[in-house]
Amino acid sequence: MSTSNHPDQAWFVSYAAGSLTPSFNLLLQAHLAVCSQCRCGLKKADEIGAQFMFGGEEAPMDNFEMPNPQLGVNQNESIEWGKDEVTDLSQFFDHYIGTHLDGLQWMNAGKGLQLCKLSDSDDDKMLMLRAAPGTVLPKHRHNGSELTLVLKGAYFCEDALFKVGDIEDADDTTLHQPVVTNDSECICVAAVDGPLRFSGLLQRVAQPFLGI
Amino acid sequence: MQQSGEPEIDQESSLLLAIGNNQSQQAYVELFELMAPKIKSFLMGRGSSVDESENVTQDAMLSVWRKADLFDPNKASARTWVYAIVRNRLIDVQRKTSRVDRGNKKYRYQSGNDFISNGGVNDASAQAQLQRLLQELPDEQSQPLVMSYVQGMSHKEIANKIGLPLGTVKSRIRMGFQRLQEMVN
Repeated sequence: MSTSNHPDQAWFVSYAAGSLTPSFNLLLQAHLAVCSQCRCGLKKADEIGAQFMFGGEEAPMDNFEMPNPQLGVNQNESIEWGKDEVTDLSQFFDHYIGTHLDGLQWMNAGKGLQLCKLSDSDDDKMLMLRAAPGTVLPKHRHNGSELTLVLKGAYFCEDALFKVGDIEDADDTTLHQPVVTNDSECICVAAVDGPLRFSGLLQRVAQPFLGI
Repeated sequence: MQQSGEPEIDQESSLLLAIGNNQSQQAYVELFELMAPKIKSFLMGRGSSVDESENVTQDAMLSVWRKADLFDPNKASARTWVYAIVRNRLIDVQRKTSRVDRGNKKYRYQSGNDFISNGGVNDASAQAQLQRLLQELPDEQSQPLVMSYVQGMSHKEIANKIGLPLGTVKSRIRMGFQRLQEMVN
């Protein structure tokens, strides 16, 4: 398990390659908005991507049309590493999810823990987790990758503290048990591409009902 | 006009600056001829149909026209900047379409040279550079990089394909990427 609070650079290679599912893209976009180090990592991945694209073959274009000059040239910047730093992720829901935190429907998932599924397919799930101060989450592994972005509060996992804007990068080699700090509730959003594997019998029994 | 002390501007960057500063249609025509066929071929290589590749390329080049005033040659090369626009278009398109069909890939990985082996290309220097870079890498590192960038495969898809744990795939991508980056710089 990585104890870094940033995703592995391999994620930015995949992001730059356009090979991620929507939930992973969203999480990384939100982290990129607050992390200059990772914006730099993405730019490097784009530089290599450009080598692949412009070092490849050519395919003749069927058409050419001159853009209408009336279209203007001042669109919003869409390149992550060209954007200014964002210091507040509280707009995450409005901006990325299209709904406010209060509009989500939470399920109880254990003592002090609530869960909301934002998207759910076999290889791309997005989960919101809301945990009361001091909550100890069930110990679990993954059948795949998991990226967890902290939106509010903080939690410990192993020796690392994950705060607002941090990402925990877990995969099938990771066995972890997040513990929320005592000073505030913790809200996270997680992207996963495979089912979780819980260590506890109770969680394994409840897992099909929670759909995680 | 370039000032002394600034990095040397390549042809594509000059064209982008001419579009951004003056909305030069002639510069756009030249940039389109230089870049669009590369973009279209790259997209076709990832399994997109000819029509879809043509459409995404047209959209990306339109974005280049509309955003050219945001291009800053001190921050990135023209190729890196345009690549980022293309991959954002790709992400937008994939968000709207199923990934089911993405298994139908034109490319099957054998070596890093597979996708640059055909003729009909007028930018031999870029091809030769990429070929040299990939040859410098051990196969175990070039393989997942080509699978990522050229075939658009996720970590999980790569792990399943070559039968390795996810963590190993990520390590190989990271190490190969770092070596490529060192060589490029």
